[in-house]
Amino acid sequence: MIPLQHFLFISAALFSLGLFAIITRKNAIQILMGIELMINASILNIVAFGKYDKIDNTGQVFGLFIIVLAAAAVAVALVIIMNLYKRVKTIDPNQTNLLKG
Amino acid sequence: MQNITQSTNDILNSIPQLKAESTIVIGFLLVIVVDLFLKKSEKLVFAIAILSLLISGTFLVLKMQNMGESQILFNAMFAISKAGNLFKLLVLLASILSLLFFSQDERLKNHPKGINDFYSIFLGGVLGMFLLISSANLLMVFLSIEMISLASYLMVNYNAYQNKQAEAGMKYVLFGAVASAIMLYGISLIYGFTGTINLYGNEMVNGLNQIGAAGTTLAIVLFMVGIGFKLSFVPFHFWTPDAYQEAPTSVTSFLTTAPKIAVFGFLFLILPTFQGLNNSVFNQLILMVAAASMILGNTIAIFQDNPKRMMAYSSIGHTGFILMLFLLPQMMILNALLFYLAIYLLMNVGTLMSFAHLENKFRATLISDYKGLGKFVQSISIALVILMVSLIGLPPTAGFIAKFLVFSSLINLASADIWIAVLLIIAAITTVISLFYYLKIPLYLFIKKSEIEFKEKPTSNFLIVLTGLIALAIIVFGLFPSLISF
Repeated sequence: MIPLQHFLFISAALFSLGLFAIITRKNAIQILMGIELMINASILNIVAFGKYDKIDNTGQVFGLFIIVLAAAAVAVALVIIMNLYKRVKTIDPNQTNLLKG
Repeated sequence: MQNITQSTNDILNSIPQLKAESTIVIGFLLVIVVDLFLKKSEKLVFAIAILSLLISGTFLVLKMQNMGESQILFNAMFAISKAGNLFKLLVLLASILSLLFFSQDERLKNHPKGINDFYSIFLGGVLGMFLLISSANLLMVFLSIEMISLASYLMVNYNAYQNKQAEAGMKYVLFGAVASAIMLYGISLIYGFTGTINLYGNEMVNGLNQIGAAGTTLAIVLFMVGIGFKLSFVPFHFWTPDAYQEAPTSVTSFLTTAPKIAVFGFLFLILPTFQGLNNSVFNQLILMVAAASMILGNTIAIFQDNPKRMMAYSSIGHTGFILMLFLLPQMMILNALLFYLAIYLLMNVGTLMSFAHLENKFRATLISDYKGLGKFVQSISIALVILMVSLIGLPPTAGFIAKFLVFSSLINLASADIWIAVLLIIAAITTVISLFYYLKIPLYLFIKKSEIEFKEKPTSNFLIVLTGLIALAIIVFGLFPSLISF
């Protein structure tokens, strides 16, 4: 059986990679990918912890809920990014800088 | 462990307790169905939405009258308590005022598909707030926070057909998604450390106490990122000015009030869990965040020319002010918290309504456009002056009583702890600073003269009446604060 630590290391690495992507990428879609990485890191964490839960399946059920919710959030985000692309013809958050102050 | 009969019975017994929430669900479904099958149904949909809110409020009041202790329902997923119901009633008040405001908003009405879809999104958001206040479980917390977030992303982006509006919408959604992902990681850590997702009860506190200071700090800080995004306190406030400035004014008034009340209510209800920890990270976090929010919100607001952007920074400042209360134990803060939130809600909705009216009538979108408008629209200008005085917190308005309650509940703690004394001094100084930007609006309205001619557009007087009523309420509650007693 794979020990718990391995899961935690992988998930911490995924989380950090996601955060890195969010900070460095210049494209809203790539930022969304980073967010997905972070969410998947949390799901991995929760499911791995769930294996050791005394009440069965809390972690697994939690994971299922989050997968559905992440899909919904990405759908909304993609619509909004599409709307921006139709107006401004760019999805680089650094170039859309009309709002300041 | 429970057997199946027990859990089924629990669920069956719990369903009747959820009348207020079910009413909103029914309203939500009716709005969608009516919108699909009937043409020209704006009035009907509006009536359904407002009726479902009112009926749900009636259920809440009825429930409160015969409720003793708090109850845990649905196998520890859901908790109802008297304080929770009071917060729900405040959310409902904010939602009803915002709903009246939505129906007057030209930008929302000009959407090619009409305003009906918007009402369904709005009801979904209100349901999310109800679930958040009642959630007894980290899964429910995450689901309901996401529910509120998705609704607010869509509301900010409704009819966002200018570049700036689309840009603000995208920033809001990306920032929100990042915040909720970080919060989820915090939740996963709390679950791993404690082995439970129940917020109430000793299990979580004991588990967190056993894990050691570093682990608790990490988990709580990550968890508070998501809360901080919804409350827009300082390190997570970047989206607030952009989103509030570019959202339709009615949506701004909804976002500054209802979700914040819901999150404050949730934070209030789980306060014993956080304060039961040996590690004082929660208190330190609140202390720093409250000070930073008050300083930053109130100073940057001085330099704003867009009234909605100014209100965004002012709401950051108010959030910091309210957060100070969370340094105290739970049973000491309920009255001050509810009073402040109720008055804050009235002030914010009233102010944004008068901004919307000035915008509709004179196309005045900047504070510098308000020059000399005072003598053309006297009623709304006088109401604005009252609201501004109340936002500063000067007598005889209710804003003064609200700030006074917060100060007086904290003053005993301040003599014991030097940092809390510093925090109170910061609060007093930032209140003085806030004079400069709130009074800018009366200054432009009444004292500065304008050279240009105003082109008036015919508008309905509905917003004037509502603003007048709100200003009156502010004065009345300022003179007789005992009228609101919980």
